[in-house]
Amino acid sequence: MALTDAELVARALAGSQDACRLLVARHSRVVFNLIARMVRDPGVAEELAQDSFVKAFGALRSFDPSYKFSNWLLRIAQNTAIDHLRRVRPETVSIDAEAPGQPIADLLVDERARSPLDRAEQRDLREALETALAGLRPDYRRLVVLRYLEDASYEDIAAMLDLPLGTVKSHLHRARAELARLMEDSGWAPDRDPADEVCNPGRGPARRTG
Amino acid sequence: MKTNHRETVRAWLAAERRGQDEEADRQFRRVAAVLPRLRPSAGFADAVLQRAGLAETTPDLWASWWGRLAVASALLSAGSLAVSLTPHGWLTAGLASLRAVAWGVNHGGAAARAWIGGAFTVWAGLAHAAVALGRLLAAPGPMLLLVLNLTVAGAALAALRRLLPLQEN
Repeated sequence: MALTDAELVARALAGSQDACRLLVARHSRVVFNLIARMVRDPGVAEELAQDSFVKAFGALRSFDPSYKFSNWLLRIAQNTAIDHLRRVRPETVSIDAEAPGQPIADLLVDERARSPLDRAEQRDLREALETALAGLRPDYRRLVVLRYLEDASYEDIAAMLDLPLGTVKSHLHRARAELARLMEDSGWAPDRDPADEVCNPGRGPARRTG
Repeated sequence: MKTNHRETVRAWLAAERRGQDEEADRQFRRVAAVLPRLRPSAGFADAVLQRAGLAETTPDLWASWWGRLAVASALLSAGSLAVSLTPHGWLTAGLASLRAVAWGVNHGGAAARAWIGGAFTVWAGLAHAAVALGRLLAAPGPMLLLVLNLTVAGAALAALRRLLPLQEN
């Protein structure tokens, strides 16, 4: 039977390298995904994700086993990402600002898409979503990632980010509303003719100017 | 199941416009499913353990003081010996070394010759056996028996292969 995180932490504290490796293997994807979405650079994200684990292992004795290890680790990860964002971009990120260079877009390849049309549509949607996500404030973006990409519950997010449950819900509501506005602005409004983009996949959705 | 991404996006945006929070939450979860879950590179765990100082390291003899001491002592004694040798001593030591090399070459060569000879003997025996077997099989009786045997074995194998998938189903 697989060991729980708490058991692995106990073994790691006793000096087991295998336990540390298992903890990394178990949580590296979530940690990396969260940080990569926040900093939008896979190379930097990998570095910061490593930093997060190193910090976590360094502070393992302060971990309270009555809490979820993943919540504790993700809190360290998001703090690491925020520290980095503050260092490299001290000014407030404007939601109207252009998305920074999108190296993450290079990773967006899904061979599961069935037809060329489906693939084109999926690619358009991904690009639009990635751009909209990049336009969100980092603190909203992390909420969206945790809730919708990592399937975290409101309670877990609240514990992870040390926020009241109501704040998590209201921020998520605002984040989603902001995303909806950005998606509509980039041509995904419900009253738009879908044939425009689907039949011209290379052109991409038209930007509303008014 | 085919996913119509545009329909999903429309459903989400419509729910947002209507202020239906739960529906919007549900629909956006479906929309966000197109986003890939990013993964770190393959050597991520090793890099973390290395940086955290938790990686297993192979013992570096040179890093220990006694390893360095042993190497330094060996070098020092070899150097002292070389300095203290007289020309006669150098000549004696050189001749002894040459003799050792010659002995090694001689014995090594003899061993190699013996090994090659042994191999030839084995191969010659096998070749004789193969020739004898070939002569035996070339006769009409044993040849017929062999063909019959192979045919029966082939048919049995084919029947078995047909039966196996049926059993799996």
